[in-house]
This record gives sequence, structure tokens and C-alpha cells, in this order.
Amino acid sequence: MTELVIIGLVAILLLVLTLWKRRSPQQFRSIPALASLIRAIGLSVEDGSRLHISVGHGSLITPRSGSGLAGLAMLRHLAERTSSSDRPPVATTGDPALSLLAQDTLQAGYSAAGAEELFVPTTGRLTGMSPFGFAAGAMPVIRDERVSANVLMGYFGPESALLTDAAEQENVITIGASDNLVAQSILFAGSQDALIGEELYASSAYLGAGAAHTASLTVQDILRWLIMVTLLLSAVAKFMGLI
Amino acid sequence: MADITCPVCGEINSADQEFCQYCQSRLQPLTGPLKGADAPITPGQFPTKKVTADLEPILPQWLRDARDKARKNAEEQAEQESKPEPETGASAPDLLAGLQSQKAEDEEETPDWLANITGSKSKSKKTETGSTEVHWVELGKPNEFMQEGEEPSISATQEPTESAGEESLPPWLAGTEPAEGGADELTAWLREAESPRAEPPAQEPSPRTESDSGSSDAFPRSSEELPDWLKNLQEEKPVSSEVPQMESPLPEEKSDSDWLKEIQNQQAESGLESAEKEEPFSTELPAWLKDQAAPSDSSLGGVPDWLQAPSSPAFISEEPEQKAEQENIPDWLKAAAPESSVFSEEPAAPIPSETPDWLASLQKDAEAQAFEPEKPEEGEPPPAFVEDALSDLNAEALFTEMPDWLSNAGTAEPPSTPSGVPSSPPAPSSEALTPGELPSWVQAMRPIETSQAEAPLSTSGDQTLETRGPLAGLQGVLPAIPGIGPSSKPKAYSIKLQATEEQQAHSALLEQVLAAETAPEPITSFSPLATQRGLRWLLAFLLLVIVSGVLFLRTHVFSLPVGETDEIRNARLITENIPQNTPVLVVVDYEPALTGEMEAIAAPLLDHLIILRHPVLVFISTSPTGGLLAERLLSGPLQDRGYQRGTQYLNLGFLPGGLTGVRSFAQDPVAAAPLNIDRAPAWIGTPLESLTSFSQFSAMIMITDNAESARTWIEQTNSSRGAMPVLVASSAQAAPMIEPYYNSGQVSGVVSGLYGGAIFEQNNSGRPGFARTYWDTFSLGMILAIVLIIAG
Amino acid sequence: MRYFIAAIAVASGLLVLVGYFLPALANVEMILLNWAMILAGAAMFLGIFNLISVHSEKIRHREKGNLYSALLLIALLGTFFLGFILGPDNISMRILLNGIILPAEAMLMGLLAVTLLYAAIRLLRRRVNIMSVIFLISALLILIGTVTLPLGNMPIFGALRSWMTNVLAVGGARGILMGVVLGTLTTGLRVLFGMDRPYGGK
Repeated sequence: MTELVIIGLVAILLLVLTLWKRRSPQQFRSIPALASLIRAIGLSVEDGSRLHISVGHGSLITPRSGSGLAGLAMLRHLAERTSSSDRPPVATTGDPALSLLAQDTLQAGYSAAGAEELFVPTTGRLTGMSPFGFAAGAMPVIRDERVSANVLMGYFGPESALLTDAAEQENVITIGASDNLVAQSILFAGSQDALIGEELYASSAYLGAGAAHTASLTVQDILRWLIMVTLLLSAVAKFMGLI
Repeated sequence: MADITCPVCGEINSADQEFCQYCQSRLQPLTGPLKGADAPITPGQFPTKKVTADLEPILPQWLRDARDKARKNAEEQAEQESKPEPETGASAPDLLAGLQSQKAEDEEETPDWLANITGSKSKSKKTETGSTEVHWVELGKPNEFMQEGEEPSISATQEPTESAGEESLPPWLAGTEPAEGGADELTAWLREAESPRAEPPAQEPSPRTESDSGSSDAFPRSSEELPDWLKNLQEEKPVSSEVPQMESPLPEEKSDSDWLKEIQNQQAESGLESAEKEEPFSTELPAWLKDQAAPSDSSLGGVPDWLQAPSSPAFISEEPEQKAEQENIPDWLKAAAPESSVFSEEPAAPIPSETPDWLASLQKDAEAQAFEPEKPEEGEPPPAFVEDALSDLNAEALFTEMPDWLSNAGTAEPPSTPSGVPSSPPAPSSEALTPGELPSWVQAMRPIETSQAEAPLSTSGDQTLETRGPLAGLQGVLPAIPGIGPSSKPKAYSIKLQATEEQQAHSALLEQVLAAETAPEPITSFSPLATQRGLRWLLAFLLLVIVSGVLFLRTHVFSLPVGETDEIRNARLITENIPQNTPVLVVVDYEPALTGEMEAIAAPLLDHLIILRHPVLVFISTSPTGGLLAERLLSGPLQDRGYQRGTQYLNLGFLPGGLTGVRSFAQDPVAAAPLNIDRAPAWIGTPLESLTSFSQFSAMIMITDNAESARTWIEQTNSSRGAMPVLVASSAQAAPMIEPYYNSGQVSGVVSGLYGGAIFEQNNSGRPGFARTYWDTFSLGMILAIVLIIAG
Repeated sequence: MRYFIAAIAVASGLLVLVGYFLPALANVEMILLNWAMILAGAAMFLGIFNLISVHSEKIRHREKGNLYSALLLIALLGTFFLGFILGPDNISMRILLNGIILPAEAMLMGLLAVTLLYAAIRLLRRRVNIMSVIFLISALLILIGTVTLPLGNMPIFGALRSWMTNVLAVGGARGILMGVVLGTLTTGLRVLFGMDRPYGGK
């Protein structure tokens, strides 16, 4: 029951911060990876190439769904911004349910840009049922479909190294983020810019997704501080023999 | 009562207030809404014609007074007028008409000097009753200002100049106005001076009116106040000299010389009374006038040529029939008969020479004195005009353009004997001038060379000597800016911004700040490294050759790791203490890609368990390929144990639903997984037919390659597991994430990576041996990687 | 319509969340979870159908790699029908697994070794900073602590490896995972309250 209360309080805090009208825009710390992403978006639209956005193979009915949903939020805004490009973005997934949501999200992005007639359902693809099968299916997309930037945001495993390697062979920049530690280490070594940890969940706020995303960052910061204080106090109390 | 908000300061005032009590601005409008007769004129609409007589009440007081006087003067003039005066015929605008408009006013203010000349009484100064508004000089004829069809209903329009300038006539001219209004008298006689007349301009004695008194303010009433040059002229003027009053602007039908005639009439009326008075003009000519009057080639004996009577008939000749009249006219005024007017564009009609008496007197005096260029006396202003500076030609030009009263003022001879005056035809007004040259008459006016050298600067009062320009040498010239003196070149102000160093520094700082705002931030772009396919091939070749060669050779060069860790020891102990022939749940959640590593880790553990405890293994997986991998495990590394499906193990296959499926299985295993991998009832007819809850399993062994799967099974079965021990055989990549669960006691033992498998295998008597097989390859590959990383 | 869809999603999520903590709603939670599993299975078919349509489009337009798309479709359909007909435990299925699926994935896993080694070698050329240096040093120490030399083990490296794994790596991983958990929490709440709707298509 305690967990439910905590979740309820977090939800209320999120709602309040979402509805709170800030006088000045919230300032975020600079994340070079997201800056490169914004630049890559513009370059892809200018030179008529496309973006490859992969939301991983995290199933929605598993704890891996959080990174998948964050990846879908990023996909929504990327689709809106790049819908006018000569080559529309392609979204690849390794989970069937996630592929359906990716198609829906792409369509929402096109609708927001007023170019719903340009939406092609096959731009949201299921490339494989297993992680390595998904990677094997995504590599041809990077190699053959004139991709200018790789955006890997979701749940990935060691197979992300194959994607980064394929991108490097095609001189395509890769911006990756995952909640899997293995993938984070691989993306750190293999990609140009990597998002570590919870930066995956902040990427949509950096792209101006809305007040809810911005409020989520604030809630995360508040909770993080609470956790840090609790850990420190607990460690001190344990050290002093109080607990 | 509703309050009024001030439109200026915004404060609230009561409605009855006319002015704001805070800022004193008007609250109540002066005028009401424009409607009816006050409605504004729309475009295209002709203004409504007004009867000007109806506008009399709204006229200013001074205008009304002027109009009244004009009416009176008109009536008087009509009575006195005997001769139809020729029309001036001047179509040119009479620029001095306004001056005559002040006649009515100034008639009452006759200056004393003028009164003495004319012999009329000087009237007391009439108090001004009108407003002090500026009297505009009206140009043109009255009927020019009337609209079509409109009759001059206002008498003032007939004599606009008279009524308008009634109170604002310059003092010097106020006393010389004729009694009656009329056309521009000044320009008239100036115009007369232009035309080649044989006779002096006719002079009509104008009745002196009370306007003389007004002009007396500007003119000294006594001789002491008069300028010297005027005094000198006055002294030599005979008693009979009469100062004619300048006529007020006469109507068109009057001639320009009517004012002179009027003056003569006044003189006749006043008699000799004025003659007894001192002449306002001094008979002694001023020095500048004396110098001018000294002609080099003039018979006037020193009278400046410009002052000498021109040889034109207008100046010199007199009609015989007018001689009698001229004798009564002061000499100085006789000489003032304009030969030509500077304002007229056409040569005016010959005007009978009517030299004003005052001017004639000046001429006589000039003759008597035999002007010679002499140094002016001390205290006297230097003559403005020097005869030597004039040439014959210039003198002639001067006489053609100069007013008569100025040109004949210095002549000693009467206009009738202008022997010394160079007879030169009046220069046409349209005399062509060479570019860059001053007109002759202007040059003649400039006594620069002589007057400035001979005459010291005037020290009388505040009169300064003009030193440059066409009026050089004249005294008492009004400066361009009163009180300041001659104008000078305006000071040049630099348009460069005058800012202090501190201000400049601040502005530079502000510019930097603004530039930084608009300056684009450089984006650190990555430098794309060229892909090195050769290095890839080399690495691949090395790894393939070395690893496969060692694997093929089955070398045992590298020793196995020693030292059993706590996690591995606990795992071993738990497997040794599980009850025999009890169901043990084995979760197979790894990908086919990691089969080699996972089989090398899981095989020694399961082999150890099977050998010692003969459990009934129940395989299940949340991965679609988990069931097949379980079968591969039993038919591969554990083949020697001969476990049979259905009796010694169950393969439940794929458990759908992920986390939810695990939770379901933990709550009710039979219901969550009723079928086995062969799609046959899994629990019926098996040794586990009596199993009804998850807690009946004696242990749970998770074989997984990722921490999420292990966490899922650990967390979701926590409530149903009870005291069931949990063992984890994980890949090396998931070991750090599972370590906390071991530390917290949720996991009893962990065997991770090939390292753990090799250690456990050593404790299992080296069975099955996969770890030993792979260890040399594994070590050699690791060393190769270290070397390549360091070398690269 | 989209508001109705959002209402269903929000209500279902709230019921499952509350039912996890309140026993009174445990049955409702189980029902909803069962429906979710069924839908996830159905979504698998839709995903497979999407995969077929993509590669069919590639074959029809004769794009680059259409031959591989054809092989994929053949293998997909063949495996599906064999498994559906013969069963997953059939010898043929084991042959497919042991002969094709497992080697293929193992091969891809083996490529990772080359790829990761290549990436580690070029890491300092791509990104020269303190984190890259620390990363490489940590990797080398782990590798040295894991491997055994022919002449014998080096206990110090073993102990160092153990300490780095159990202390440094675990501590850093916990911190990262804690941030991930917070992000997952807020993301889930956004979806739960309809602030983020990856469904609906609008």
C-alpha cells in the first residue's frame, strides 16, 4: 500500500507541474547528443535523406516497456519534423506490439505536420522477433535506404553493436540511448553520441514535446534528490548504529 | 454629478470644473459640436458666402476702429477731393499698401517734427484702444480679396490697408501718412521716381489728421531728438517749407502724389504756425550725407549723387504749372519726388515732380552749404555715402533706382536747377547687371572706402556702423539679431557623438553582449572517421584463426581459474542439499546466440544436481525458443544423464505474457502452463500430477543471459516462493545486476560467466568439460583483445 | 473516438495498478492482464503480417535486396507451417533450430567480438575525453583479471577484477538503474493519465 501512496503522490506532483504555467521557459542542461540529434534532423531534411529510428525490442508487457514508450515519444516528434523530407523516416522494432504502436505514432506525427497523406504504413516495420533477428533486419535499412542518421532509443541488448557498426560503415551518425547497461556501454563505445541512463527519458522534453514531458523531468529530479537524501541519511544512520 | 477625467493627467475632477485642479488644463471644451452653420466644409463644397457686414461683431477691435476711421476719412476725402486722381494703374502689388492702411490710426499721431514742417498742430497721441495685434500689410487691391459676386460690403475692404494698419504703422511712417486712406502712397511716389517724369510728383496737401501724433513717438518732437542730418535740413529750410504729410493709401482713382498735395493743403491750412516751429530736420546735414553730397562732377557742391535730384524729368524738371505748388513744398520734399520706385516693375507714368518741401529744403541747404567731402565732426555719424565712390554711371544708376527722398536729400539746389546733377535718364528697372557686381546704386551707397577711413565709428548711443554689405557705412542699421551685433557664420557643431571613455566602454560592452546573443553557437560536429575495412578484416582474421585453431587443437595451455567464490560455493551447497526426487523448476531464458556460454555455465550445475539429487526437472521459458534450448541442453551436455521427458523432466515450453505470465505461473503453475511443448497435458500422468502450487518446487534455477529476466522471476515469485532457494546461472554481462539480489538474500547462489562455470566444473569432477574446452580459446582471445586494444 | 480510446486505456491502466495493491481488485486485474496477453499474442500476428507486407513491397518494387526478402518470406512461411503442422518438438524443428537459427545467431554474436574490439580500438580516435580513457582502462583491467596466463594466475588482478565488478560496476549500475526506474515511472504515469498517447494515430 505504501507503494501505491508513493505512486499517487508522484502522479499528483506530475499533474500539478504539468498544469503549472511557468513564466519563463525551463532551462535544461546541455546534452551534446541531443544537440547533435537536432542538427542531424535538419541535415536529413535538407539533403533529402531519411532518419532511421529504432525503438528496440522491449515488449510492452515487460519492464522493458518504459524505454519503448520513451522511444515512441521521440519517434512522434521526429516524424513530425521530418515528414516533409523527400524520404520519410523509418521506424524499426523487434516487438510486434511495439511495431503497431510505431506505425500509429508515425501517423500521428504526419497528422501533426499536416501531411497525413504522405504517411506510408510500411515505414513502421517489425524487422525481427528476436534481438539478433531484429538487428539483422535493421542493418539492411541502414545500408540500403540512404539513411543519414541512426536514432536508437529503446531497449537494446548487445545486438546494438551490429547496428552501430553498420552505421559506421555507411558513415551514418548514430545517437543511441537504452536502459540496458550492456547497450549503454556498447553505444558509448560505438556511436558518436550516447545518452546514458535517464537521458533517454529526457530526450522528448529537449525536443519540445510538451509540458508533461518537461514536468516529468522535474518530477524525476525531485525524486532523485529525495532518494539521495534518503540513502545518505540511511547510510549515516546505519553507520551510527541507529538502524 | 458625474466626474470628468482629465485628458492630460488622467485625474478625476468634478463635472462643474472648467479647468483641471491638478494640471490646470481645460476640461470644458470651448466650442460645441460643429453643426448647422458651424459644420465643417466637406470636400467639394463651396464655402457659404457671408455678408461681411455681419461679421463685424467678430472683428477685432483694432480692425473695427480702423474701419471706422476709414469711413470717416473717405467721407472727408470725398468732400475735399477736387480732382479725379488718376489711377495708379499699378497692376503690380503694392507692397507698401499696408503702410498706408495705418493712416487712419496714425493720423491722430502726427509727429512733432512733421507738424513743424507742415505747420499743423501736433495732435496728442491717441490712446490705443484697439488690440495690440499685429497689423498685417495687405497687398493688392481690396477687390482682389473679394469672392465672386461678393460686393465689398465692408468698408475696410475698400481701404484695407488703411483700416488694417491703423494702429500698427511704423512710427517713422505714421506721421507722414496722408489723412485719407488710399492706395499705397509710399510705393506710389517711389514708382513715380522710376518713370521719366518731367515734373516732380504732384503733391497734394493732405490734411493733417490726428495720425500725426502717433508717429511722433518714433520721431523726435524737438530738435534735440532729431537726427543731425535732419536737423540740418530743417534749419535751412525756409519757414514756408512745408512738410507734407504722406497721404494715407488712397483709392485707386487717386494718384500717388496725392499725399503730397494733401500735405500742401495742410500747410496752407495751418499757415505759418508750423513754420515758426523748429524744423524737425536739422539743417545741418550729417557727415555721411555731406560726403555724399560732395559731388565730383556735380554742381550741387558735395551733395551725393544719389541724393541729388536726378536729371530725369521726374526729379529735375517741374512742370511750369506746378511751380507755384512746388514753391510751397519744402525743398527736401520736393527733392523727394520719386523718379523711380524700386518696387515697380514697369516704368511708371511720368509723375509730376512734386518735391516735398522737406526734401526741397534739404536741397537748398545742400546748395548753400556747397557740400564738400569733409571729415565729419566728432560725434557725428560718418556719412554713409561718399561721393567719390560714385561714378557718373553709377550715380546715374543710383538715381534711377533710389527713392527720390533719398536721392535728393543731399542736394543743395532746388530740384528745378539740378545743374550739378548729372542728367541721366532713369535707369530702367530692368537694368542688366553683370554677374557678381553690385548694382551701381548699391555700390554708391557703400561709403566703405572713404567713410570708414575718414569717419570714426559712431559712438552715439547704441548705433553701430555697418561695415559690410550693401549698407556698409550706414549708421543705425538694425542688426540681423537685435542686440547681438552683426551676424556671423553660425558656429559649426560637430555631429560626432561626444561620449566619454566610460560611456564608450559601456557601449562597447553592450555591443558585445548583443553580438553574443545573435552569434551562432558552434556545434561540435564529429569528424567522421573513415571506416577501416582492412582493420576489420585483420581483426576478424586474427580472431578466427587463433580461436578456431586453438579450439581445433584442444589445447590445455591455460590453467583453469581457482578459488571458489561465495556465490559459486553457495550454489554448490544448495544443489547438494536439495531433497531427492523433488521437482525443481528450471527457467531457460537466454537467446540462442549465447547458447555456447550458457551451456558451459549451466551444464556443470545441472550435472551436479542430477548426479547427486535426481530431481524432476520442470523446464519453462518466457522466450519462444526457450523450450527448444532446454531440449538441446538435455540432449547435449547432459546427454549422459539420460533424462526422459515425462518421467524425469517436463518441458512446459513457452510461457506467454512476460511478467504477467510469470506472475500467473507463480500463482497457479498448472493453470498458467497446462500444456507441454508437445501440446499434451503436462501435469496429468506425471510425477508432478499432485503439484498444485508454486511453493512445492524444491528450488528454482534460472538460466538467463539478461538481468531483467532474472529480476522478473525473482520479483514476481517472491510472494509465492516462500523458502524456496533460487539459483542463477547467468551470463557474465548480467552478473553485476544480479549481485544485489544475491547480497539481499533473494538469490542463494550465482554462477556467472565462463569463469564461474569453469570453477564449478572443477568441483564437479570436471564434468561435462565444456568449460575446459573453451577456456584456452577464451583466454587466448582475451589476451589478443588486450594486446590489440593497447596497440591500437 | 480518440477520447474514447484514451478513456479505455486510462481506465485499464488504473485498474491494473490499483488491483496490484488492493486484493479486492485482484480478479479484475487478472482479467485485464489475461486480455493483455491475448492481445499481445494477436499483436504478434499483426507484426508478422507487417513484416510480410514490407518484404513483399520490396520484392514487388524490385528494390535492392529483394532476393533476401524473398528468402525471408519463404523461410518464414515454411517454418510457420512446419511448426504449426508438425509441432515445435518435431525433429524438423530441432534441425531448423540447431542448423539454422542457432548458428545464425551465434554467428552474429561472434561478429560482436570483432565489432566490439574494433570499436574499442577506435574509441580514443572518435572521442578523446576522460570518460573514454576511464572506459578503456576499466575494460582492460576486467579483461586482465578474467584471463589466466599459462604460467599461472595473477591473484592481484583477480581481486581487482572482483572489486571492480562488485563495487564500482554495481554502484554505477545501481545509480543508472535508479534513474532509469524514475524515468520509467514518470513515463508510465504519463501514458496512464493520457498525457502521452502513442495510440490513436492522431
